This record gives sequence, structure tokens and C-alpha cells, in this order.
Amino acid sequence: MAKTPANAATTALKAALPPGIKVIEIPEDAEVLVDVDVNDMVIPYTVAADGNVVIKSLVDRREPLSLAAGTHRLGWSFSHAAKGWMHKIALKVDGSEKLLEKKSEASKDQDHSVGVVFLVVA
Amino acid sequence: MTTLRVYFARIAVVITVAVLAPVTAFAQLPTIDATTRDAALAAVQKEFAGRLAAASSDADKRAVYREMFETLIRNEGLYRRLSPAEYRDVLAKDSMRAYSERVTGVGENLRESAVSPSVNAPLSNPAANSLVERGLGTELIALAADLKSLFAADGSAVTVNLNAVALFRGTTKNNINAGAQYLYAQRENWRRLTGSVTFGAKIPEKDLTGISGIPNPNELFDAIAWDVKFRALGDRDPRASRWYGLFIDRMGTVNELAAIVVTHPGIAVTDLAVAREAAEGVVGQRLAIAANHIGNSLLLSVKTSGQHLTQVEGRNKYVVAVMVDKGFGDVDFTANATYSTADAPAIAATDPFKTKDWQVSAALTGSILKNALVNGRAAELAGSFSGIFPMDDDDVPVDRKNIFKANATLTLPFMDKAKIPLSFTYSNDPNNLMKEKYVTGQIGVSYDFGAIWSALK
Repeated sequence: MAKTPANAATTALKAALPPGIKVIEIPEDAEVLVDVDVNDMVIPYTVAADGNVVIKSLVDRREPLSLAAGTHRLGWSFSHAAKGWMHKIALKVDGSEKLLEKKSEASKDQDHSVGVVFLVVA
Repeated sequence: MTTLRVYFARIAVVITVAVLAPVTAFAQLPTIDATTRDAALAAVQKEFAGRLAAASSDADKRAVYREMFETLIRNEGLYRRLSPAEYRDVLAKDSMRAYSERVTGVGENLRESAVSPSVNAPLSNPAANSLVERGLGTELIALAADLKSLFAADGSAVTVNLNAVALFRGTTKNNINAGAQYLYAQRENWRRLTGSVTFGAKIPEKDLTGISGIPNPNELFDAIAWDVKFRALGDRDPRASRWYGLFIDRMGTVNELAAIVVTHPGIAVTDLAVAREAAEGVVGQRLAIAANHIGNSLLLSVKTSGQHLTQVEGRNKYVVAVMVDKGFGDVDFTANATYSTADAPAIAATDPFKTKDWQVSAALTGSILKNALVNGRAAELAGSFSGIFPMDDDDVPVDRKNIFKANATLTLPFMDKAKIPLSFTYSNDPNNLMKEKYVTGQIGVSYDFGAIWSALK
């Protein structure tokens, strides 16, 4: 299957963004879920979109993300104080998983992280 | 009548709204009120607009964004300050929304020496070398092996350590999807109570009585020891309800603001990487401060214990102890005060009698070499001191002197849970160095490689 060509908005955004910040293209009619998988959390993590909270929780969550056509920012913040910690945040776009971040104590990752990606819905 | 019916109908509506309101409001953990949050964000943006515009390099911008984020989280109006009942309510509701959950251990960010319980019950375990015992209890059940028979002829001792919460079936298993704090809150007060039984210890007579002048003071006897420990004050488990305010409110709000800030349209696209780094740096700093706060918190525990010779009748020792733990910076202070009474045998023409002692001991323990030997674990370096002060009455036919000991111990981590202690002990009474492996004059050297043997079995 041929890869869908990036639209103009995505190309312009990628050019303006500093390296390391992902841009994800999403079809306008797609079903989008934010999927968070965590081990023991004692500090609530937050997933936010365009300056508003989508999920604030201590447990695994899978929540729908309602996105109008255009460019959106999706961000998250995790802090860990429990042994054996792990977090994984992914987008499920029409059932297909796009991994945003996966960190764990076992991988010797930093025990806190703040991340952001751009979602271009077209 | 109609008026009365309307009146009751109104009451019913009010009650229904009151019951349903929290469900709607706490569909997820409480967030900052949007109006309050946006006003706080706008105020910070306005305050720093000039400095941000003047910042030319990424380093300058990062410093300004960091200061902006620190200013934002200093705004006390952004924190919720829920009551204990409200915390319990939101944790229960959050757990009900769990998609799935796995349960593991606790204490990642806390110093090893701040959260490690003394699983071998040193105050009541005749085979243990430590001079002090920490007030922390074991999580559910733990085994500590002082397997000296591998290297010495004084037998081996195994301590079974049990937390009272382990007596309740299904405390942690029935709600596998629930959050860590929600599970810990189930019978939280029972977690204060721990007990241990030490089997297989062989102790010299003088260890029980404190008398080294009797015939055969070093003759070894089979002994069994038990203890019951109650943590009266404090809890260093990060899941404990006393830390809800720190973790759920303070750190949860810091996380929320970090996620809001990086997705806020007010942050220029070109600045997003430095703004994210700045927020992440502040989150990490606050997390370290929070972990240190818990690690240094005060613990006060009391314990009672008994030691009994299994092959000689009427030879018992009973101990009551108070244990204090407090952290200072990266160092943990532990102090114990114990009062003991022990049955002593008849000496020459005297009847059997009882000896009574006060013992005070204190230790400073620091965690070093974190991740150097075992990933996620640190070695412990401890210096401790103890003094035993006889409080005998006139029935005691021997004159016992005060005994002092000073000890330095390096405890190395081995695999996931095991520890290998290496210690040097000085005593003003060399007779009290019998538990050491090598004794020269008034100095003894001890080690316990039993953990290696146990882990490799």
C-alpha cells in the first residue's frame, strides 16, 4: 500500500518545529483513542490537548479524542514514585496504534517526562 | 398537603443533585478550574513577555520558561486541597475507570535506607549483628536468612516477617485494576502491625542473661524469638494516605500544568522544545523534593519481643522497645531504647534470678553507590553505637558493668532483595564480640554471605 503523501500543513509545520517533536497525520473521519498503560502510580499523570485536560488519572485509561479538522497539540506529563514503574502512551487511530512514548524503570529511563506531539487532522 | 408534597419533592431533588454532582465532577481526578488556570497562565505570560522577547538563545529562553513554570506552580490558588474523605472518594472513582492495571512494588524514588525494613528483627533476633532496628514494617511477608552455618559453627537463623494485612485474603488481589493508593488504603491501619518469628538461632547463655561471669557463658543454646511491632507514627510508603496532599494534589497539579503548558496555543511553535525541557526539568526537581520529604519523615514504632531457649525450661527474655527513624538530608537516623528482663540460672549457692537492662542504641545510615552494583538499589553505609546499662536489684549475685559497642557496617545489595552486610565492631567487653567472625582484642569483623547462598538456591 502506497504511503499517503503529507499535506501542505504538515510539511509547513514540520519545517517550523524544532527537531524531536513528532507530527502525526489523522484522517478527518477517523476514530481516535488515547491509550495510557501504567504500572503503580501515586502521582496523577495528565494528558492534555490544546490547553485542556483529556485524562488526569492514576490508572490505565483509554479515552476517545474528539478532533476537528486542523492542527492540534497533544501533551502529557508523568512523574513516578513507585518501584517497577512504567508508562506507555499511544494513539489508536482507527484501531492502528501509534506509540507516542514508552518509558520504564526496567529500561533505566528518567522517572519523569513531559512530552508533546502535533496532530494534523485533514 | 400539596405544599408539603412540593416541599418533599424539592428536598428529593436537592439530595439527588448532591449525590450525582461528585460523580460528574470526579469522572476523572479533579482538575484545576479552567477559569482560574487560564487567568494564572495569562498573568505569567504577561509578567515574562518582555524577558521572553529579549531572550535570543535557546539557553536564555529555556531559563525564562523554567522561571515562568516555577512562578506558575507557586500559585497556591491552583491547588485543590481536598479533605481525606474527598481523596478516598476520587481514588475510588478513578480506580473504577481503570482500563487495566498491574500491581508491583513501591518506593522507587526513596532512598534504600529510608524505606528498607529491618526484616531480620535485630532487636529480638539473637543471630543478628545490627545494633539498631528500624521502625518500618515489611510489605506483606518477608524472609530474612542469617545463614551463618555456611561459614561458622553457631548455627543458622531464619526470620519469618509478617504484616497484619497479609491475614486478610484478597486485600490486593480482588481489585487488580484499581490504583496503588486505592489498594493500599484498604485496611491501611492494619499495615502498621507487623510481627516476626526467628527459628534456628543458637545463642550463648550470656546473650540471654547479659552475664558473662557464669559457668559456660559461651555455651550455645537453641532459641526461638518472636516480636510484634506497631508503627505508631508516620508512614514512608508513597501510597499512604498521609501523602495524598503531596502526591495527588501538589505533584498531580504540577503534572497537569506541565501537560497544559506544552499544549497551550500561547507557546510559540519554535519555542516548544525549550518550553517542554524547562517544564520537564521543574517536574523532575519537584519530584526529587517530594521523594526526599517522604524519605526524611519521622517514624515512631513500639515493639515487644521474647526469646526462649527451646531445650531449657524457664529461660526466657522479654523486651519492650521504642524505635525512632528520621531522615536528615541523605542520611537516616535510627534510635532504639529497650528495656529487657531475662531469667538467669542459679550460680553457686544462689537461687535463679532475673537480670534487667536498659539498652540505648543509635545509628546513622546513608545510601551510597545507587545503581552501581544492582540496578535500582544502593549500598548502605552505617555507623552505630549502643550502650547496655544493667538495672539489677540486690538478688543478682554478680556485679555487671555497663557495656558499650560501636559498629560500622557496609551492606551491599545482591539481586532483587538480598543484602550482604560486612561489619566492624568495637566493644569495651571483648566477650560481647562472640557473634563476630574474627575477633582481635576488642574489635570484631563480621560478614554474612547467606544471602548469596539463599538467592542461588
